[in-house]
Amino acid sequence: MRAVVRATYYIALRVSFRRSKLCKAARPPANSAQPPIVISRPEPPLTMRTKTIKALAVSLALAVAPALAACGEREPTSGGPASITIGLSAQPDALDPALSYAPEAWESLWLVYTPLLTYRHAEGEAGTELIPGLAEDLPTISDDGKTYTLRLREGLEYSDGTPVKASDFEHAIQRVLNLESPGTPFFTGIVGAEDYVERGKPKADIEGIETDDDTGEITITLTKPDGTFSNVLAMNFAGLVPGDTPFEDLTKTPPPGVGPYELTDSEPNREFVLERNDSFDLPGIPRGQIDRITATIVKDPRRATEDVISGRLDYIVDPPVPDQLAEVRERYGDRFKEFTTISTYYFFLNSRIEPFDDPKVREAVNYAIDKRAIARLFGGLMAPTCNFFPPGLPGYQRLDPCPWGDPNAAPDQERARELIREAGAEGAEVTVWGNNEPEPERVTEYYADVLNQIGLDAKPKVIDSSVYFQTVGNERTEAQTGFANFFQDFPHPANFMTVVDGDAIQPTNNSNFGNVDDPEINAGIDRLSKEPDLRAVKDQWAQLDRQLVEDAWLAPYGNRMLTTFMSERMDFDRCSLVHPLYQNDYTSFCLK
Amino acid sequence: MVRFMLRRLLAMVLVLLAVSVVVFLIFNVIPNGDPAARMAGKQATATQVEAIRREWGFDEPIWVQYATTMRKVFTGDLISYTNRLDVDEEILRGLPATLSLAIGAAVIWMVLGVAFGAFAALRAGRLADRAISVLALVGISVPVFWLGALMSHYLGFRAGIFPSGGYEPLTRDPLGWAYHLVLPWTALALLFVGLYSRVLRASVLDGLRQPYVETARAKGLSERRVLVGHVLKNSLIPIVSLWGLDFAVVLGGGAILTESVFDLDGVGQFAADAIAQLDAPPVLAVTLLGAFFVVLLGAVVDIVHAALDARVRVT
Amino acid sequence: MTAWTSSAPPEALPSTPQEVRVDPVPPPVPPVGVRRLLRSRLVIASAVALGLLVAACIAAPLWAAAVAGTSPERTNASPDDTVVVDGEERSVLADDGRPIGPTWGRRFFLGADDEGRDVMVRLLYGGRASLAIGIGAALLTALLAVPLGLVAGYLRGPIDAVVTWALDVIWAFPVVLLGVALGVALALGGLKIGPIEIAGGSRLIPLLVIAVVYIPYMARPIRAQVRSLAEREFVEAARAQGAGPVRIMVAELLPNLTSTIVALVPLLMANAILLEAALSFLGAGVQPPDPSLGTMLRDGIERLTTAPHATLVPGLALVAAVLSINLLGDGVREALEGDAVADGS
Repeated sequence: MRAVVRATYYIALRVSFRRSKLCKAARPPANSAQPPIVISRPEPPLTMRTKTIKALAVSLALAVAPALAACGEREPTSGGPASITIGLSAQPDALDPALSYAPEAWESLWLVYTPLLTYRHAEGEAGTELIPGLAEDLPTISDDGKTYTLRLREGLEYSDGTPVKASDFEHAIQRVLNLESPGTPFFTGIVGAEDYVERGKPKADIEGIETDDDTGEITITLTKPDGTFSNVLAMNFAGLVPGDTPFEDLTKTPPPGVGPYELTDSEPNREFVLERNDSFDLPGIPRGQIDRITATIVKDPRRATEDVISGRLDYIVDPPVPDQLAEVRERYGDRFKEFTTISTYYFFLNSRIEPFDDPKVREAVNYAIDKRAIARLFGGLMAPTCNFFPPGLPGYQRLDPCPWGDPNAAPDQERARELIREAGAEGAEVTVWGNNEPEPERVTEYYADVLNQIGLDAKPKVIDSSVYFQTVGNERTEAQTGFANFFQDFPHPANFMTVVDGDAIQPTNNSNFGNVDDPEINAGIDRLSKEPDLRAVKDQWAQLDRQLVEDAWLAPYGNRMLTTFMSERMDFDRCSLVHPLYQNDYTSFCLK
Repeated sequence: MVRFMLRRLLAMVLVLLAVSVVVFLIFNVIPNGDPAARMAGKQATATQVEAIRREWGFDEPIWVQYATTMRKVFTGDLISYTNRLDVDEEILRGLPATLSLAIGAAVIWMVLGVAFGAFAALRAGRLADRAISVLALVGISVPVFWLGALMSHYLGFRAGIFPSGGYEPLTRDPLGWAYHLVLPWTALALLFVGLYSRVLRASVLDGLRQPYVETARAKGLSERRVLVGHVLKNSLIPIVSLWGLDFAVVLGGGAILTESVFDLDGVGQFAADAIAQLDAPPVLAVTLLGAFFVVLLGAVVDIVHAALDARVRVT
Repeated sequence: MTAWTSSAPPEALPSTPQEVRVDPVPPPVPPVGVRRLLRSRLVIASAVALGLLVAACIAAPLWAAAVAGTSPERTNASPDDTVVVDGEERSVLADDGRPIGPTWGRRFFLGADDEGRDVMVRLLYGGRASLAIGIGAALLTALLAVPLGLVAGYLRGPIDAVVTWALDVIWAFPVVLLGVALGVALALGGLKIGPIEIAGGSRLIPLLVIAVVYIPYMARPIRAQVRSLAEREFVEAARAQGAGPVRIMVAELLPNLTSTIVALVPLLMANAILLEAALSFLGAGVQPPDPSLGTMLRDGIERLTTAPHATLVPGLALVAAVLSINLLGDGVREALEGDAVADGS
């Protein structure tokens, strides 16, 4: 069935793609997110980027103007400015670029606070390409890989008209560090950042960031080379805000930014409003088509789905609950699609604690789990996988044949039982950790049941999701095995490897729950992370992924699927672009 | 009387103090509940956790933390640990929904409870009385969250007769307000209707046995006047007292299941969400508010009662 | 201090001790009451229903092993997990996770839940847990509340003040909030009192939480009754004969409280079962994978549209259990109080 859903999904994608092409042939591209120029051009090598971008900028400037005019002309049929209402199931952790570390907030924030670098607004692999945002160009990286130089574009203004200065970048990073944002770890590689955090003074200088407001030049020095730093610069945390933005959580009064939309109104736990920023004009980044997007909090996910069906909401961020999925798929398939996110769901197997210190037991787990069963526990919104790296991540190479058997076929529990016997682990007591969100809870109970079937003595322990990761990440918990997942922070294999890096193990707040500590893998991560040109070392990353799976350091089982579900008045076929990192791209949204 | 009231007031403050200490302690013994580690995010470094701990005062002795938190409750500076919402603001925002639910349901259960109770007392021992008494027992035997979920699902989602949930402010749309609240009111009131009708029935029957009824009858008053003017009037005293207490409980975030099932987004749901996330500040504030209502209305009921009944004052 | 000892804490548990409280001097248990208790068809019916429920729950392992051939924790989520219904082989969970409905056969008699577990088996085991917790909690409450009420009511003075104050504190808490907060905290960390250690996942934790939450609902009416009893002649007489306070409390006062206790305990049981369901529904009661009626509701409600049986079955069972206890308790109370008017027809 897995295959069926995926097939329909791909067919749906292909159909919508073909339709959008037809639309474009009929009239200028309304969806500026996929300018034909981008598609027709081959991927340029890094060195050629500058020229390409400039060419792109010119052609876009020419192409976008008539396109928008055309859109505007069609508008009067619906009367007045186009506005839509979208639904979120909960107040995001914050609506401040420095503080928010939640995908549902990022979906909005990346359109409001453009960082120096950002990603192309495109689907699939094209969307993982870094492009200059507020910077003129991609950074120049020194030969030792430690110094990044960028130049701010000239004449930029925030949505309130304040001119953008190079020093605003340092201010944005200071806010992240000073507010102890969850984004802090990404920036502690900057020289002086650790010091800054420890001193706790907002106005102190971060040694490794030098800016020049006159020339717009920004220089960042790192303590050691880091091949992912360009991706870090594209994170929302590094989104620019005016230099006088206070050092506090501004969720209630979001500061201005540079982006296709501005956050004009925010009433926590009720709603926030994105209004199109008409002064916005950056090459490579589409302007919004909808004038006003009101995001309301609808706590009951069932009601949110019903509201989309009835048209009270035009789009929902969270997928419909499994209970409603069948109905939505069946009856509203023309405005509903499923897509696989770049994420991995896995069971961590603590290699420091019995019985999982024995590779045979870890192998047994990999043989025993039925990935098709787990997909069903997610209502079908889980794509079975063999790899640890998810498809779509640079460095992903499908493991075929999978050492533990086809992820879409029946598991080999006989073999698993045998291995447990061989390891002498029969009847070993195992506590299986999981959190109390509906899907993880189901999966945890299922997993414990499987362990019992192969001869262990397992009992699930389901705890609150708000304390889950810090509990299993605390060495005193001695968590043997349990639920874990990872969604990419940016499209780079090193990001995924942080949760299996033996050098990153720490006694508390450990995210390497299984204490994976393979010297070869550690060295590989260390070496490859420094490499600035990811393309050149993709195969080597894939090799690490293979090693991780073959040695059964963990038991990956699937990639989470999410959905796009829109009201009838939205133009679903033409205007629903799914970005590999930020999911649904609101700039692509339009009405029929 | 003044001394009695002062004593009640002191008792109230002491109770609230103890309630706050208990909640605070409960959240402090939760293993791995360290708010600093949580706020720092999944991949936090030790420095970062330390910085948060310092800044938010989580490294202070526990009694200092308690004092700071309590001060913040009253100055309105209390911040949630999960999404940094202003707790007092959220409570104020949720109050209209909670008030609407509580007042509406309280009126319904009072009116229906009295009506059924009086009717049952008059028909004592007959079929109607038996039926009401069994129905009342059914009412108090049904878990409200289950009933609410079924109502919301079948009458709301499936049949579409009522909205399946959500709150519509009274000021924006009075009709929509009532329409949205019909199901929650019914679900919550059902529980109490049974209870109240039983209380009233018992106290009416009790009243009918009192000597003054004979006196009134002897004076030649009509049976109806005896019943309404004397018995029912006296029977209402206990039920009104009870009503005050129950109302306080529902108001103080006591209806957290009803609010959550119908997604009313009131104080109770706020507390339910917070408790699901082990978010101490909102739980502390809502619990204090709830306890305050319970204690306050309890005292009011007592004082009113003391005024009515000299015997109570003596104790 | 407080005359009105009863408020119905909402949602989980209206308790009606005031009906008992109203009558400070309970009449001696009349033999006629017992006979009437047996005469009421409703009471007998509910006693039979309750008996059947209890018997079914006790027989849970029998059904699981001999009929369904599975355990309450056993999941059946794989496409290979099938069951034959009317000669047709069907998947227990559909591709989208929708569980199979009642098959009325040996396996999945009442259908499966969202993990493909047998609802009938879980219902029997879950009912067992819910009843055990409800009954256990009510008895524990009585065990704690009666001495507290006795001591506070009879000794008065500072002891009374402290006990009353402590009861007021528990009383002032919104019940569900206190229950959930305690439940969550203890489920995470377990409990350690001296040599006794209870693991976080133990069913004793919800039992304990519920018992504590309900103490004032029993202790307050008892205290009030003790106070008025303490002024009566027979207590004076005992005291004049040189009986100590302990003796008076145990030998003189306690027997006079029997009817109050007997009337209150069924009510507490009914409410404790409801509170267990509420706590488990919110994830603060019985911990997975153990079934209870509350955890079953929590799992079932996720599938209300596509598998209503997973919600309706445990819900109806819950209502049946609580209602039969309430009817029985009501009958007992009526018999004890000798409701002359009701009997007058």
